[in-house]
This record gives sequence, C-alpha cells and structure tokens, in this order.
Amino acid sequence: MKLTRRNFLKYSGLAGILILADKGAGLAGPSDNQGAGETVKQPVNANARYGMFIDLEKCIGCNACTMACIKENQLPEGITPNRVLKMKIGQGEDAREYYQPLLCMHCEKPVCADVCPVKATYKREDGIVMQDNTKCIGCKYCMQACPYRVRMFNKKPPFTYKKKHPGGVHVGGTVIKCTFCRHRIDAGNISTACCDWCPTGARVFGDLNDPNSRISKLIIERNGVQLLKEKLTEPQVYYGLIGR
Amino acid sequence: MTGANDRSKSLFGLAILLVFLGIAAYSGGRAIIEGQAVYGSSNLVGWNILIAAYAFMALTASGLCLTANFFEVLQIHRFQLLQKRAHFMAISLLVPALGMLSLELGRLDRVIYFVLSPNFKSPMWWMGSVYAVYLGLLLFEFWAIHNNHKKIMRATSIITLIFAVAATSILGSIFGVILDKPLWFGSGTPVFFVFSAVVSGLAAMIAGTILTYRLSNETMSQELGQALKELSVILTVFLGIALVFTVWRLITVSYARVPDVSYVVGSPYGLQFWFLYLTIGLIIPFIALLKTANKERTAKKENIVAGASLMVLIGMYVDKHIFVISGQFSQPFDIPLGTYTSTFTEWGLFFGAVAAAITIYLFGQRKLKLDVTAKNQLNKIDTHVISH
Repeated sequence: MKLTRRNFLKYSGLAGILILADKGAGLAGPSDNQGAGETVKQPVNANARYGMFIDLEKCIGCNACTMACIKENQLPEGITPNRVLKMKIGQGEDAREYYQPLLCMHCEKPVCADVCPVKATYKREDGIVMQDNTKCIGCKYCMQACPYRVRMFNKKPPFTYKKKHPGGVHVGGTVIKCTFCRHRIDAGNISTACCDWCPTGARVFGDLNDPNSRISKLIIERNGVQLLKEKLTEPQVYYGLIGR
Repeated sequence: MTGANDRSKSLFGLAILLVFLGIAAYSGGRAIIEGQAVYGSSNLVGWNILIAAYAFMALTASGLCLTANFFEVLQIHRFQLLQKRAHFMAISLLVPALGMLSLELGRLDRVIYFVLSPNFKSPMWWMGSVYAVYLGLLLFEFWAIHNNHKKIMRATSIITLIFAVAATSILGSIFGVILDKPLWFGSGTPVFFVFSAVVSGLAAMIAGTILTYRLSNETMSQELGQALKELSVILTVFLGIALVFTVWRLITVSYARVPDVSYVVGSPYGLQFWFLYLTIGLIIPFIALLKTANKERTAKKENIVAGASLMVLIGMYVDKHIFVISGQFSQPFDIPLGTYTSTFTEWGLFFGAVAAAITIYLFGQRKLKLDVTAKNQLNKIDTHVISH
C-alpha cells in the first residue's frame, strides 16, 4: 500500500484513538466522566449561539468522531448520529475522494421541531436542538422532515430498554440525535466529544455569536459554507471546503 | 340443504377472519414487546407499509362519510338509502386503522402527550386531533341516524362533512409540508388526498353494498339498485379524472427529471405502478364501469360493478404504498439510496386491520339494521300512524 501523508495521518490517528478508547479515557478532560445530571449545571447561556466548523481539508475519514460520539453518549449499537461520508469531487483522472462528516446541523429554524407533534424536539436558547426521549412518541416525523438524515431510530424494545447516559436517557422506540454534547456545555466545558477526539483538529466547536471565537474566525478565513442552504433551515454547522 | 350450506359458508368466512385477527394479535404483540425491530423500516426509510395502509383506510373512511354527507347536505334523497351503511363502514374502517397506526408508533403509551404537550405547528398533531374528533362525530351521527333523530342528523352531517374534508386534507399535509421530499411536497398533496378519498369511498360504498346483499342472499330494492347505478356512474367520472391527473403527472415529471419519479415509473415500483395502479386500479375498472353504465340492472352487471370497485380499492392502496415508500428513497449527498423490504409482521397487521374492519361491519349488518335509513323509518312511522 502506498504510504501517503493522508494515509499516514489517518492510520496513526486511528491507532491512537483505539489505544485511548481501550483505556476508557477521553481527551476531553474532567468533564468526560460526568454522570447523568450529577454535575452542577450552569444555566443555559442565552447570549451564545453554538455551532461547529468542520474543515474538510483536514478530515481524514478515520471515524474517530463517530467512535467518540458512541462512547460519550453510550449509544445503542447501530446508532450513529455522527458519521463520516466518503465523497468524490471531479471526474475521471481529476477525481478526488474526500470525507464529509455529517451530524445534526442544529438549524436556526429546525423543521424537525416544527413537525414534532408533542414538542419532544425543541431548540434551546443557546441554539442547541434537543430531543426529549422521555416525551418522544416515536412517530419518526422528525426523521422524515430532516433534510440531512441525521436522526436515528432506536429499535430496541420500547418498554424494557432504558439506558441513562451523561446527556440524558436512551429509550427504546424513540429517536436519537446529536445534542452537541450538551451535558458538557451545561457543566461549563464548551466542547464536544467529536471535536476533542478528532486527531487532525478538523472540527472546531464554539460560540457563533462571539466574533472573536475561533469558530467565527475560521468561518471567515475558510469561507465556511452551510450544507443544503436552499432548504432554508439555517444550519449552524459550517464546512471549510476542499481545494482542487 | 341451502340453509346448511349458508351456515357452513358463514362459519368458513368467520374462521378466515379469526385467523387474520389472530395473526394481527400475534404481530401486534411482537411489535409491542420486541419493538420496531420486527418492521422492515430503517433510518433512511422510516415509514413502512403501515403508514400507507393507514392512509388508505383512513381516506376510504373519510371518503365514505364525505360522499354520504354530501348527498345528505344537498338533500339528494335517493342516496340517503346508503347513508347509514356508509357511516357504519367508515367507523368500521377508521377504528382498526387508528389501532394499526398506533402500533407504528415507537411509544404508543405516550400518546397522552398529544394532550399534555401539543405542538400546534405540527400537521401530525392536527391529523391526530382532527381524526379523533371526526371519529367522535361519526359515532354521534351514526347514533342519530340509528335512532332517527332527523334534526340532529342534519345538523351533524354538515359538521361531519367539514371534519371529513379537514381530516383528509390534513392527512395529506403531513406529507405535503416536507420540503425535502419531491414526491410528497406541495399544496397539491392535500387536494390529491381528498380526491383519492372520494374515489376510495365511492368504490367501498358500491362494493360493500353489493357484496353484503350477495353474501346475505337478500334482494336489493329497486331504489337501492338505482342509487348504486348512479353512484357507479359518478365513480366512472372520478376514475376518468384520476386518469387525466395521472397522465398529466407523468408528463410534468418527465420534464422535471426528478430522480424520485424514476422509483415510481421505473425501478423498483414500476410494475406496481403500471400494472397494479394504472391498469388494475384505474383503466380496467374505468372501461368496465363505462360499458355497464347504460345496461339494465342484472346480477352479472352488479358482479362487474362490484369487481370493478374492488379493483379500484386495490389500485388506491397500491397508489398510497408507492407514494409513501418511494417518497423516502432519495437521499442527500452521497448517501446510498434507501431500501425497504416489508415484513410478515407488517402485512399481518394490515390484513388484521382489514379483517377487524370486516368483522365490525358484519356485526353492524347483523345487529344495527344498516339497510334501514332514517327516511325509511320515518315513512314507516307515518304509515303506521295513518293506518291507526
């Protein structure tokens, strides 16, 4: 196999992640071991507008973010609200493969919240789109409405499967989505597990309302774009596109 | 000898219904205990045939009530002969349909949140609420017809008619508001659902009435036969409109080149669309009804009309099936196309719901005198008073 810079970064990064995962220690620092609702929660910062920047030039498709999300949120098997797609740009000999991480866009106008008949999906004041699994009836309407296909259905038995995790509770027969690791934010740690685990620093999380935040600067520097902007949901995840 | 034959036929029919109800009970039990792992739906194709079956049954129920009440509101008396039967048929269809839909919910025990935490922006909340009220109105109106409360019946028929149109169009809006799905999105979807409801309702009313008389070996009155004949003419006209709609839909989408359309007219649903929906569901019944339109009423003609109506019902279900499932195949970015394979559990629940609808209807036929309308009762009362 040809050892390119990209491959070297990808495999060395993945090896590092596997070692860390085996030890059960995250890179996130003290907030990584928080129990469900055990930490002192800080009030939701209504002045903040949380979002994410993903640099596609830096993403090597190692799926560390996927693994981090599964571990952090103790997701049931087969559920990956944070995943990486293998994409292709150009045609013929000029074609180039790249990786596009995909997660909830925490839209400013979340159509999933609009269609939920029981308000199980709602938007917090800090912009995070939440899913209340103690209320969700499992109608899957939000999954149909989401243009990004980032909502997953938990097919576990509805009345016997209930699993507490740092971010809340997983219940069989309900929908699971990315929460931007809101339990970390509520505990004062403004970062997500996927950002912390990314070996190349392709993901940056932060406050979009703060013009001096790293994310705000990166969006300007890298001409950050929003996916499927034409769907008018105003996604809060920005992508730095790959060059030719 | 004939009596014994009829009895054995009835028992055989009852046994078949019980088998389907048993399968549905087993399937429902599995869905509740094991969760939606027993369904073929996935994260990409989240809604399965139970949604299509619900849409079909709920639309047919609305269509039955809508047509019957339309005639009542306009005081077209010859169709009032069908009013009581149409209302009970609608109830018979709607109750199992709602039961089947509840089994498609991941947590049906949380339906209480429709009341405790309503989202007025959600078409699904409106659909659930309006259908619940509509069912209540249907039951109330049936009670009024059964007990011959003519004034209540007339007043309720207007309200129920409004709710029938509202419920049907709101059901369409559940799909119509999804901007991301080209096959579903648009203001035309609720209108298409109302039209589809009328076609299904007319077909169910005709087939149900003829088959009831056939199976019970009773002779249909001249007035009822005439009313059915006129209804079948109305159905023919509606099938003609449906054909025109379909042709225009095909022409417009051929210009739009939306990939989703290829799933309907090509693979994987091409065969179902061209053969089951267009040929069996529309063209053959249209020709059959057109050919029998001017002929005298005979048993053979009634069989053809009933057969054509049943074919229309098959076509209407296939239409909803294709609409619901193929609308979900397309995916953004480079995500592979969604796939879906229905399961035995899903079909068990669907056929069980149909069996439950037939069982409820047969109970009504035996115990609630569905062929007696308020007008008949009034005439009888009048005659009784005069003779004394």
